[in-house]
Amino acid sequence: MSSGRIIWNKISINDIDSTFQNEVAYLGHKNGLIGEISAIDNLRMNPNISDLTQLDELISGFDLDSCMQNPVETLSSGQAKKVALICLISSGRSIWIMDEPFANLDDASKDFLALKMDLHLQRHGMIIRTSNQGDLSQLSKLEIILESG
Amino acid sequence: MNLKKIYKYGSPPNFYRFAMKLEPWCLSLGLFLTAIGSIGGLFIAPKDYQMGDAFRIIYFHVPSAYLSMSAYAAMGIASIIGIVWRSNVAFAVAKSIAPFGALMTAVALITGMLWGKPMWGTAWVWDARLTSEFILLLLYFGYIALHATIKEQKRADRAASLLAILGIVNLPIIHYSVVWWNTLHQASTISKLDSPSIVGEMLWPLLLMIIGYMIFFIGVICRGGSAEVLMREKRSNWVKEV
Amino acid sequence: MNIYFQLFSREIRVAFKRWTDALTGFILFFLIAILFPLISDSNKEFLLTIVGPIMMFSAFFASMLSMQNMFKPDFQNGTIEQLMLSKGSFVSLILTKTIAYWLFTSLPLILISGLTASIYFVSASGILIIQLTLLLSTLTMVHINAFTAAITLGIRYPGALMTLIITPITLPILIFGSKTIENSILGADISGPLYFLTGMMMLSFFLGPWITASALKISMD
Repeated sequence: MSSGRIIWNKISINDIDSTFQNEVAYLGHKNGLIGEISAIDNLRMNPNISDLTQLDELISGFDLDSCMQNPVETLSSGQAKKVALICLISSGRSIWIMDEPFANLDDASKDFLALKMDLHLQRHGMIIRTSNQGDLSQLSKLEIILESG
Repeated sequence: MNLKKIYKYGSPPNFYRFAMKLEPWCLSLGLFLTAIGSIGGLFIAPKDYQMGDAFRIIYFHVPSAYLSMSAYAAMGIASIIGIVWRSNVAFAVAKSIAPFGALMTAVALITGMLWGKPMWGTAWVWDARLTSEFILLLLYFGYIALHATIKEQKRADRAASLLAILGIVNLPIIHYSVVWWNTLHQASTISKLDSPSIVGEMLWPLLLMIIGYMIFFIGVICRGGSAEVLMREKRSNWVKEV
Repeated sequence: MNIYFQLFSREIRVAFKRWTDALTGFILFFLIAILFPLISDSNKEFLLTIVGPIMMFSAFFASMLSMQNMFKPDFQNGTIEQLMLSKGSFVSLILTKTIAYWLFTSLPLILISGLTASIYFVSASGILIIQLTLLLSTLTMVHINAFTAAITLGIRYPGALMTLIITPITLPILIFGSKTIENSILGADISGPLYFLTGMMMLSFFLGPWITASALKISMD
């Protein structure tokens, strides 16, 4: 599938007037964090984070209290991903685009993430995500199943 | 509307057909004019009282220098068209101009050096025009190298086009700075280099050569551009019918 | 907190952590400037003639060394994509990044150039002119470097390609910069080349971030 248009607020997203990009929070394969500085600094200095009030709750929810002072490059990939997820959740954007958000997470974090995602959807947000694991929350409205081959 | 028509003309199959038709005419006319110009310049035009026969190099040096700059301008314009109108054909044309432009620049430099030997006694001199021409060669090389190094074609097209556009903006600046720098160093050489008053008998072969080169250049664009378009669209249907 | 200020402080913080990047350029600048009088004819007149070109060339070379790291780490960790999604203008964010980069890599050069220029028997006022010239030139070159780094992002060994791209564009700056220094030493009028350098610098501030941002978008696909 490589043709077609995406329209947001009646304007194609490729148009220069589009506000689409201001509404998107993205988490892909790369986690968008700077390895050399500490996790908490990454959160505090991230230009995209607008909502700092939830930070403490999110940090404890993902069980990251002990490692926030460490440079991100010393964290495990799971922990780094959780920090990146906090960035996304705190961005205050309405559309979340996530590539395999549940991969590499422990079960408690998966539940916490699912909770946050449901909350987002309840507040009229939108989530577009890929998943290899078939774990879909009850609130998902549209499934596109792609099979290779 | 006229714009729509141009847009249609700009589609790959139409461009290909148009270019293939135009090409043989341009190439042959260009060669013809160049041949006459060469004969005129090498044999018929009288000897220069100052330089003797050596000045005849001008018949190859000037057209190639002129063309090297026009080719870069054409490449830049094609790049702008490619980026603004997202035209694959424009990118293909720009890419095919580059090697030819670089060749012209090299020819201009070499003929310039050959001319320099009898004129200044040395093959190379850091005069304004030679230096600018050398920098132009670097600009061409950068463009070609960028195309060669980036694997995905769409990305290579756009990156190289951006470079070409930057080059176009820079060309006047570079030229100005080199001329300015040069006027402080070698005022004498420039007055020797300039051939402002050139006799009619010497002029016509020169004009012919310039025009001949230009027309040949258009033929080359047609050929190169259509080859490039063919390569890019090789999977599409219209190519299979060709 | 203002987005740009946030980005700026983050870049400075990160630059401190990556201090070895800036150090390489700094050392090179210093070394070239020092080695020349040592290995060549060290009489005053000769040195005064070549100090202009040497200063410009070593600044150019030093900036080329570290420029690969302008965007590469951010490309690898996904920060650039995040910047593209930011509420601020991407072009202005790139400008912020460029300025932070300049502060960390070029400002030390300008400061140490006073010391190195004195080896060439340059007078105190001459040193000030050299520093001013380097200030204007490096401010311009940083944008050219940013563009070159952006457009070659993702290419595996871009060194030679970068040099090829950057040389023709930077040449006018090198010419006018060295001319300014030369003129000031000879006592001639420096306003001409100085105005040109200032003009180039302002032009690069307008065009640079925009063209670098475009190059980044092209490289990111």
